[in-house]
Amino acid sequence: MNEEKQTEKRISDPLKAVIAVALFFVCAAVFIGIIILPFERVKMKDYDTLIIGSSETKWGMNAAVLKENTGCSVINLSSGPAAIPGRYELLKGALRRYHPDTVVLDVCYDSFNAMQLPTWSSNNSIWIIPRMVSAESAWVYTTQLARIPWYDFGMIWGAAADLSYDAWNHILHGNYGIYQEMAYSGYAEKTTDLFADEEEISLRTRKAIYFEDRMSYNQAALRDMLDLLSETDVRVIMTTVPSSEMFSWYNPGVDRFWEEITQMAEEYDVEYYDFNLYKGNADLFDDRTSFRDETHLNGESAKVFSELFAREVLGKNREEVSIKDRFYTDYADYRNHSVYSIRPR
Amino acid sequence: MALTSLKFFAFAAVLIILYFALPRKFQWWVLLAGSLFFYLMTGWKNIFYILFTSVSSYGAARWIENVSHNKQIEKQKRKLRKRLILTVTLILNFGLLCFFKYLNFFIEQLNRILQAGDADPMGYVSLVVPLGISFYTFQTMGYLIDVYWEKTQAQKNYPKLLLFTSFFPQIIQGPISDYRQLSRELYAEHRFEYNRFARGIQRFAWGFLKKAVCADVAAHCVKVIFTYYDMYYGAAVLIGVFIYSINIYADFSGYMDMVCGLCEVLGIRLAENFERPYFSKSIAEYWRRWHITLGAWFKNYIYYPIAMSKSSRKIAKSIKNKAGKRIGDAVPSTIALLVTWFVTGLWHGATWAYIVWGLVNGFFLILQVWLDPFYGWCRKKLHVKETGWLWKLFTVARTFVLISFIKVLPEVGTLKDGLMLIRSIFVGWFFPYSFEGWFPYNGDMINLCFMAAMIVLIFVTDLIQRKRPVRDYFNRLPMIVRIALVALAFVIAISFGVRTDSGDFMYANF
Repeated sequence: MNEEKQTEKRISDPLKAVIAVALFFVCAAVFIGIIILPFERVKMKDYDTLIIGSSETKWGMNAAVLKENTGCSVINLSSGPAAIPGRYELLKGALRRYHPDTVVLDVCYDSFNAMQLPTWSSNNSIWIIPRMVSAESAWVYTTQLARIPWYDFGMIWGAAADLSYDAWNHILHGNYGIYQEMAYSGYAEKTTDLFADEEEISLRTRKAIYFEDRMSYNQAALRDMLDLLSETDVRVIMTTVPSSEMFSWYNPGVDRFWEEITQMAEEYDVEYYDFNLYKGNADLFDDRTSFRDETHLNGESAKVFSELFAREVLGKNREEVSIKDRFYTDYADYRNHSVYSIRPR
Repeated sequence: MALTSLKFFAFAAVLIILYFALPRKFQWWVLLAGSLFFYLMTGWKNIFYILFTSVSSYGAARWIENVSHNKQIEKQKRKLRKRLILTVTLILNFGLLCFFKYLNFFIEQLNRILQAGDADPMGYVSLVVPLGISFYTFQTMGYLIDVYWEKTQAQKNYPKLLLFTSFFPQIIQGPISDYRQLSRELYAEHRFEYNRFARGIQRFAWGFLKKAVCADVAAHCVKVIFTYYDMYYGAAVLIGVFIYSINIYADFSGYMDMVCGLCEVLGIRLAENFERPYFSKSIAEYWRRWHITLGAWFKNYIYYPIAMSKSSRKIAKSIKNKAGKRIGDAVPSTIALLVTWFVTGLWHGATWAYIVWGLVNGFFLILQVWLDPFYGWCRKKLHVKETGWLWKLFTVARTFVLISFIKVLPEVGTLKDGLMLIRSIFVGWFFPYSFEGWFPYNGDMINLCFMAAMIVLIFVTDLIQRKRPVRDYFNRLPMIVRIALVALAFVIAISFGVRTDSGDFMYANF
């Protein structure tokens, strides 16, 4: 009897194992089907236009509006308060992943003049964050740190609900593929009230100072990006999102920056459009209602700007974009013609 | 053939089928053929070294046993002859190990002396260390010493000893098994049992998850931080140090889970190497729970022979007469600990950093030997309850931090680099503003998410294991759920784990 039972068990155990192995493969196939393949599909999804930039484009360019107005799929990978070198790695990965036809590079005076937060190693393979040395930068970073949960934690819930690759990517890389609307306005006006005279604004905002080291460092990184892009047949558009007139008026650095970027654009034979110099700005944007602070558009005006950018640049071929008619020749020209409403005393 | 590669999975599947399909008396032959095939895949030249070790230890063990049983020879002469055979075999085998592992280290030291005397330095020798040489040499020499001590009988069947030496699951990084335990398992006939099969696969999957999803992703982060430690915030370096501890644990215990799981399928029980080491309350306890088989080897074949030797006892006796019993007892164990930890350091790597790493561990253990009564006195004075959860938490955290700091000493290259890395933790203490500042990582972020989840899972399972094996709870689940979870583990490990090209395990380098 016992022997019989044992023989039965001997047969049933291998049989059980065979069934278990078969079930294992079925389960694995199901998991691959419902998790891995869709994930890979999303991961492999291509975009026609890729936007790489700083917070100015993160908040200033609405990918949905651009798509609506051009018919092209657009991904905005602009990130927050990071200096330019970090974007090189992002661009490299994004080119590999999304295979875009057009790359929009944000060249904004404010972010190029920003502190060198991340740098990279000599072999250009990783990000290195240098130590902060001054109490001032510690303060800036601490306040930035305080902001991060407010921003990114909000996104986690959206991603948890969505579970799409882009959403995760958005949270984890700070790759802002999803547009976030910033609705409030009036910051520029408040700042202007606070620092009512020109000199005080120049001194106290720090932004008026053209930091040679930061600029050369960030521009070198921009060159790396352009070198990388020159090896592809991608259309490269460098652009500056409009900032408040107050900011443009009081910053002598923007003139020099504009000249340097214009030279670089000629050198690399890429397009460059500084929308601070766009002639129709006065009708579209107003310092009191269009900005969330002195350099960032708010949600509503981002839509306006995105429509404008799609109409004037992205929706056209390079040859069709008219610089002469639509843009001032330089900042001096702009200042001569501007109808800036909050004039300095 | 990396353990995490699909090639290995196919190899293991074929081996399991043959192992149970053929008549049971051929089971150990299947294992031997599989082991030799596995080893040949690492490079055909390597097979000669393992053959040398197995042949020499087989011959020496048989010879020692023959001498032991030969009553025609005088007892004293028998002893001398046995010792001579053992010594020559140990020198030959450890000599081979030293040649591969330490030759360039010796040349380096010699060059320093030569350069000091303005002489031309010697050239370094290009050597490829045979895979697992440290592990199989120690295991086989352990067997030989046991035969010498007459703790076990010499194996008369050479292929069986070759299997013991070359058994593929443990060849890369152990465990260093005791002959008496492993031989019983290896040469016995095993019937196929579904429950054992399922439990083995479950453990293999868990190890694979640990290795691919946690260890290899963590290794990537650690590599970045440790290479450029002087450019990171102290906070980031500190996190790197802790992540390294997790990395090495997930890597090594993941490997152990994989090989133990595979052996469980085959009906073979391997010695365990880990017992939740990061929950240890002291360095001594940690070393009893981390790489248990290596610790046991050093204890049995180095520590005890030194601590219990005639000369140690003599020293202890003379000190006892002069300085008292406590000091007299402590001195031999101090000497034995120093030697053991010097050798442990050297075993791990041929650098001064490893030697210092070993000695620092030894120092803390010696400190415990000498200061234990003082600690007891302090706890009493401070009314510290040793059974209180707060005190336990403190001691566990303290040990983890200490161990993590000691671990990184040899990891960045030279000893100076190791010390500089530790120093860099304490300078530049600002809060990094960005995620990258806290945790520099340039890989795919989804992998990082899974790594974080795995760290939590490893912690929770280790916590649960205090009371009862997690697998007991797992096996209460319905069969289909268990199978689905194991399949999910494999899918996640293959899809979201970072698998290095070589699939190397960290301890394989030792």
